[in-house]
Amino acid sequence: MFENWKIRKADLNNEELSEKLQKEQNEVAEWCNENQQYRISDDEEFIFVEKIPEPTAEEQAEIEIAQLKQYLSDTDYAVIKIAEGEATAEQYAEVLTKRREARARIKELE
Amino acid sequence: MDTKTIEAVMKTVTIDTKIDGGKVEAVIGERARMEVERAVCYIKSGKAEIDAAVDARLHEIDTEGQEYVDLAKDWAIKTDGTVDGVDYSSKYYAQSILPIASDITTVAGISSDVSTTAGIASDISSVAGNATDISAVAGDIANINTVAGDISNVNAVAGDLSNIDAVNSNKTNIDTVAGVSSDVTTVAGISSDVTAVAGNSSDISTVSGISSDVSTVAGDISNINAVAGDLTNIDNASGYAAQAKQYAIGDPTEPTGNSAKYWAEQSASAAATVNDGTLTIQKNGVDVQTFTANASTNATANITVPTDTADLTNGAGYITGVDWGDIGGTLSDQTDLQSALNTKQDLLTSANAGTDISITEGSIIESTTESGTGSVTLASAKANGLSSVKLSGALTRSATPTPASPASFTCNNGVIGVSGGSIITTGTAETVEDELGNTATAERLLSFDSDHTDVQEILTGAVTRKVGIKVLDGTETTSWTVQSNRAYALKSTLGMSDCLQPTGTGINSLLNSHFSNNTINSYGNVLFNYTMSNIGVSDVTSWNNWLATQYANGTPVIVIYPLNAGATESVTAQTLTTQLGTNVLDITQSSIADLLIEATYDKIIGTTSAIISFSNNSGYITGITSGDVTTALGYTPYDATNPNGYITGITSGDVTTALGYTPYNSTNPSGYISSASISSLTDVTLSSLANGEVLIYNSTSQKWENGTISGVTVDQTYDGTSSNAQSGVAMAGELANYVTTNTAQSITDVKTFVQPDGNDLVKIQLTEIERNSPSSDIYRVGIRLTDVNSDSLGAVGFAQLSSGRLMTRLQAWSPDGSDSYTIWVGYNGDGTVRTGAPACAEQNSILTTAGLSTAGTYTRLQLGNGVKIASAYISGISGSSAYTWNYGITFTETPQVLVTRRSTSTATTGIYVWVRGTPGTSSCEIYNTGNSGNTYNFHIMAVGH
Repeated sequence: MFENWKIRKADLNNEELSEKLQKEQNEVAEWCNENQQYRISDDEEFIFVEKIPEPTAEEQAEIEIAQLKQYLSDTDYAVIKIAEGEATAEQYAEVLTKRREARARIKELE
Repeated sequence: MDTKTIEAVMKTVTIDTKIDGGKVEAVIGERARMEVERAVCYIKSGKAEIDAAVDARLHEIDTEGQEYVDLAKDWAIKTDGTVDGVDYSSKYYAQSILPIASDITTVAGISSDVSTTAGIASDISSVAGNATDISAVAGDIANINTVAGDISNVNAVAGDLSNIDAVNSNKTNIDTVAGVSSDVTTVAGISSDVTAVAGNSSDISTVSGISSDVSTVAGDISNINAVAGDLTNIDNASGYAAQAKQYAIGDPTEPTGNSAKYWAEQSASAAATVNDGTLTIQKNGVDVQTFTANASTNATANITVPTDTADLTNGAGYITGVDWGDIGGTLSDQTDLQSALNTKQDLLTSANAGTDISITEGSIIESTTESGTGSVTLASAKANGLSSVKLSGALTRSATPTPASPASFTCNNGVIGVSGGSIITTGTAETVEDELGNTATAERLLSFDSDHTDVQEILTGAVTRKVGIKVLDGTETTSWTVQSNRAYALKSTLGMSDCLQPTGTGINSLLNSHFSNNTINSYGNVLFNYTMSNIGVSDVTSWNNWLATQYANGTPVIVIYPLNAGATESVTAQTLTTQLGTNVLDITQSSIADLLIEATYDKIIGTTSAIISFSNNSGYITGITSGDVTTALGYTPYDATNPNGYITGITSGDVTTALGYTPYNSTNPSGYISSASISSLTDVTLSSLANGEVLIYNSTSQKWENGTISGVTVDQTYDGTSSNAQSGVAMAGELANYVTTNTAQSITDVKTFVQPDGNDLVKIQLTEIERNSPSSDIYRVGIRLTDVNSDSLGAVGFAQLSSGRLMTRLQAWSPDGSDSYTIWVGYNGDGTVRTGAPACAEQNSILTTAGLSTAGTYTRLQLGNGVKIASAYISGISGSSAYTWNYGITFTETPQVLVTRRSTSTATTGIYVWVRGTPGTSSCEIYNTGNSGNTYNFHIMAVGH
């Protein structure tokens, strides 16, 4: 709908246009936020809609690593409980297995 | 109803006799109404007369009605003309419609369409009103089709309406741009320059702000160019300026420097010893001009350099003029003059024949060859008579000779010829006669050149020969060498051994009566250069024969030649007597040779202009050269052109240069003390001075006057303590406000302190500073700084309030004094601290203070100018996914993005969210590392400019 939307930055300072264009940009932002395929970007002169590029392999790896670390962090409680004798490894065998897999995957990705 | 009433009713039933459609209807209606009225009357009265009246009226009405019926018929069917003279009947019009009945039928068949059309009549009218436009569209259908075929682009344009609107809103600007399209094209061609200009916009704005200065600069571009051309000097100027400043005022921190200021101060301190030396300019010890150091006017000393002997002062008795007889010494000792005189002509020469040569008691007259009669007049007495009268030789060849036309020679005794083998002269002999009638006859005297002239001494009879003469007769020798172009023989064989022989390889010319080219060479050969065949000569014999023939014909070949050395001979001496008084020698010879008269005189009287030349054997000065003067002076007189540039005049600038400084003006423009006496000061009046008196200022006379202060003897400096005050001196009034260092004092008034450089004044006021409730303060003290106008600049103060609070505050005023700002800190009575500061905002800061106070009344923070905030609540983002958040606004700088998770569930604790990379100015990416199977909600906020 707004794939080709493009305005001039300087017009945002134009008293006659700024309100209209700002409102328009809000609409475009909502549209982009909703479909998550486009984003608003800008350069020296223009503000415009562009396609969100696919994440690179590095970016994907970064995301996955963060997710895995988050998982490790989230499941630390299990290890603590085992260490403190509040639970057994058998009780958390699946968690421990996933933690090992997570660490291995992190090493692989890094 | 009574009759009147009925009549009245009837009268109301009036019918206009004018028949028309409307009236007919009215009549019919009226009739019906009458029927009703009658019925009503019947009902009300039932009287017969009503019937009669009604009937009568009905009859009238019927009559009128018939008329109306007829008229109605006419309006209905009359076809033979108009009904009322204007309009036709319905039938007439109907018949006229018949031809288009089918059309009407057709219209009737499409009545629904017509109705539809009628329903959109306004639209049709609008269309009709736009018929021109429709036609235009129809005429442009090809373009419309084209547009239709390009509808995707049209749609694209439609999708870009915001831009189009933006463009439309700028139509005025676009029109303006269109009007300057050529300029735009030009600008496009210089886009790089425009970009460069844009990059320098701030500089351009700066320049625009100083356009008047730029115009001023442009108007003075020649000077700027001159300055630009002299940048090196200008660059150096700063250094020179610093040096100049150093030289001028020196280093203020080290006042002992050798600066002009230092010396000026030294000079000022020693002003009383300013001298007034006198510069005296002399010329040879004689004062010409004086100039004192304090002279008020310029002085010029003109030292004249003699340009004429009359300008010289001859104190040493140098020769300034010499009379004859006043010159001592011997002429021969003055070798240069003698040498010069030796080269002078010995004989006085009469300028023209017949013109007397007058000599006033003189000797010496030399005459060149003259014609006619001349005389020598001795105008005054001579003691010893003439000692010598000489005649010099003269010779004239009549023409350039050829063998066929020989030339004759004429000397002082006539034409030279040959007679009886001897050389003779024929003509009038040259004689000299004195005033007594004594005569003397000259011998044959010849002249070859100036060095070879025969001279005859008349009185002694001595003749000196320097010119030889040879007459060839063909018998001289057979040793001739005869060639085609010449004949020559050694001079010895021709009897001409005494002929002067040229030196080296030179050739001397001889005078010849027949040959114009007759020479003698260095070998001693006498040559007759001529084409010998012209005179029939081919050998020696024919040459000698030719010479003999010439001789026999009375036209012998005569050769006149210079002698090697003078030869003397004696002739009969003659007597010429001279007497005292005027002696006249009459020269009657028609051709007068050189005449030399020698005599000895004691003096010569008369005008020297009459003397052409004379012999000066005694070496008297007859002329003087500059060398003579130099020799006589013993030094070379100076040249009037002043080649060495000696001072001939002096200006004040010369004096200044010589002194090395500018002498002070005697008018004392700087007001230096010109006298050591106080009484000389203009604002001091002294009278009857006595011991112990001091100067006291009299405001009335505005003078310092001498006098005494009763009972006071000031002999030391008051330091502010009463202990060293002199008895009788009151420490009151103004004195009490003097500031004394290291001494406790009470200052009750504003004290003004001058800055060290003596420029701006700043007042330091020791006073109480402002307070809100003075009565509640225990004490309050501070120092306030004000400017010369007593406007506050700053203050620092301390106060103890009655509440027990201790406050210290620092206060600053705005330049116009309208606002002040305070920073304060203090202890509350309960031991806690309170502080305060004014609002503070740094440019582009995000947060600023809007006043900070621990007093709890107005502590707050506020956003800085231009700060933007975008925030959003984002829901339903899956874990482990990225989310691109578009702010909806665009920051000019990278904003700060804050993300917080929003969840009421404790199970979601530890879910991280983060912004990947650097946030963009229009959007950013958020990553959620939560469990991918869950969704999360976030609050997010971007803050920045």
